Amino acid sequence: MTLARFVVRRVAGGVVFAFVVASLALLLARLAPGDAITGDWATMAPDQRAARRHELGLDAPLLTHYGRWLQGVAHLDLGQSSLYRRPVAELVGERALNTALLAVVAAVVATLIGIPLGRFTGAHHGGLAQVVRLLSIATLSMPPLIGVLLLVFLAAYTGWLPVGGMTSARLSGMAWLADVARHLPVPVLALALPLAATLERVQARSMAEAMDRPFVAASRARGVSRERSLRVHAWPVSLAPVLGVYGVLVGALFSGSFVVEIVTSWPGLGLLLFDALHGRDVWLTAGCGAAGAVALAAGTTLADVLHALVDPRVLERRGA
Amino acid sequence: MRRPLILLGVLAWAALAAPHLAPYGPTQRFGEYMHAPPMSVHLDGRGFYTQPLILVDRLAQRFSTDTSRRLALPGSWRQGSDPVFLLGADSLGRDVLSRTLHGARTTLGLALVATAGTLALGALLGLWAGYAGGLAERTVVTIGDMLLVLPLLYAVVALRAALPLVLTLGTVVAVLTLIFVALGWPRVARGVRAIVRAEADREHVLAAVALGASPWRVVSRHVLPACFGYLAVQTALLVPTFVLAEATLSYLGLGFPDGVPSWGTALTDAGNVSAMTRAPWTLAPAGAVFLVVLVTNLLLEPSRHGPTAELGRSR
Repeated sequence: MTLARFVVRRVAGGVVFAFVVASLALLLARLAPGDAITGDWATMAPDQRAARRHELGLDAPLLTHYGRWLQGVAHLDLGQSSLYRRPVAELVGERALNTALLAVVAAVVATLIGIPLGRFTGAHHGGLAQVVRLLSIATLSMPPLIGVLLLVFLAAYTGWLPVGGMTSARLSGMAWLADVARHLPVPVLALALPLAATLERVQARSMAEAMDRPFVAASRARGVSRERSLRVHAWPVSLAPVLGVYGVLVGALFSGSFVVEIVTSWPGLGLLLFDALHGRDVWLTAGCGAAGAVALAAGTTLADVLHALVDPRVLERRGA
Repeated sequence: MRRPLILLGVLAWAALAAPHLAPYGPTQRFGEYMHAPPMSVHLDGRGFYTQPLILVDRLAQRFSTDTSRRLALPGSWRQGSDPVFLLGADSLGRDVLSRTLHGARTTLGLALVATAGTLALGALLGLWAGYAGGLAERTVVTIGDMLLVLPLLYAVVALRAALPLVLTLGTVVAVLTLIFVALGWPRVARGVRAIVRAEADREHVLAAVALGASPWRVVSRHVLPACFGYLAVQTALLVPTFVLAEATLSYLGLGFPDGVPSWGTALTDAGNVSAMTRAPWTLAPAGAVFLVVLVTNLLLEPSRHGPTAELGRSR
């Protein structure tokens, strides 16, 4: 299977996946007990209730409702949110960007911490490597929920960093950027640390395995220094399994960002989906499901393509 | 390999023995001792002891230690007018240690039941798909792959949020178990199917078939044992996943009802910034979750299973 065919197949699969997830989300929100006006039930007159339900399309049978949504999707219109009274597409786009910011920064931080440390612990056996190894196992055991609670506590206790939200006030330009940057560390670290530990473990193991390979021994026998043989011969080979893990990390970032967003009130997709489900906002739930599925499919495809570029054998295995 | 198993044994024993081990009941309140700090334990010639707290300022919830008196441990638990809070008290004056111990029963119990269910369903479907092949296999693999891609926490929360918010305790346990099993089985089935595919052509299986053994006997006696190692690894991955899922759900108010002690419900109380900074010891259940995940990570650490052991971990 060529790379192009692989990408085409994955994109097609991603579209189908997003469609199925969005449909299931819509079904879930529609079948759940209560609907968008349950919260305002007491304050509305019966005819007001009926009018509002008609306006939201909630009085239509499920299939008609679904048909309307499909029609909208065909016109790239995801409908109107009953909770925020805004177009779903606009709302989801805004929030997805915030989540993407969080996830991308966390992935970069995890990579920058995890890979160099893994390269070090894989190649060395001294006391320092042992300490890093233990720290890594401890960090691996700190899933985002626990990590974010701990970091929020530390931030609140020391008062060094804000503990929630993405901005403190309406700012613009550089001041806005600086403000977001101050809000980033707590959620990003909670997300990135367990991932960094995962990368460190995988990189360490694959580095140790690469060092046992004959070509590394051969390079040493030719008189190449240990450092150079590690850098030039062992390390590049050890990277392939590490890149293979990124496909899984995308899923972990997703699940993790959901928890982190809710604890730190980061205005992302996870928090939006949670609000949409609670508010029984049918079209917003479907929109969030679609956006999340697209992002997930795109992330895993990107990771797999990168993996295939480094290690073409992946294509044969996946194709089989 | 040995040491984490001992730690695991201690955790399981603490959960099982909680009613005898915990100094107080999980819902027993000491009105005078809201947010009381942990009491320090001292050792002298007569054994371990601690000293009672005195409420200094009710509004500021400030306490001081009465250094003139001595409460022998563990004798002073349950009896005597002065309660002993080794891990402090929560916002309602309940002993955090007792609540964490009782919470272990709820949280670990649910996780173990869900893991058992997931292993059973996953192994069954994996065996069926791998042995029967054809349409059965394609169906199981397609549905399983779809479920595997979904981030577990998202799916769990979405499914639970769509159900009525207030349920009775029994219903909550049943609903959470069903959700966990429904979303977890593909992780088990995928590997079992692959092992079955590899085993089905081995001589001992062919011999059993040739001897006229029924498919059920072939699968259960000759194929299933090959999966035991894989199932053990999956157990170690599933238990912490479900512990975390329970903690997350209860933290969001979608898990166990408020009165039931579980690590998740305890974290809800501790989870807001003001409670956290005033009484950091109420975060103790987070430490318990950390311990469970740590034990399983240590168990899996000298892994002979390659990078795949890492896969399910950070989810």
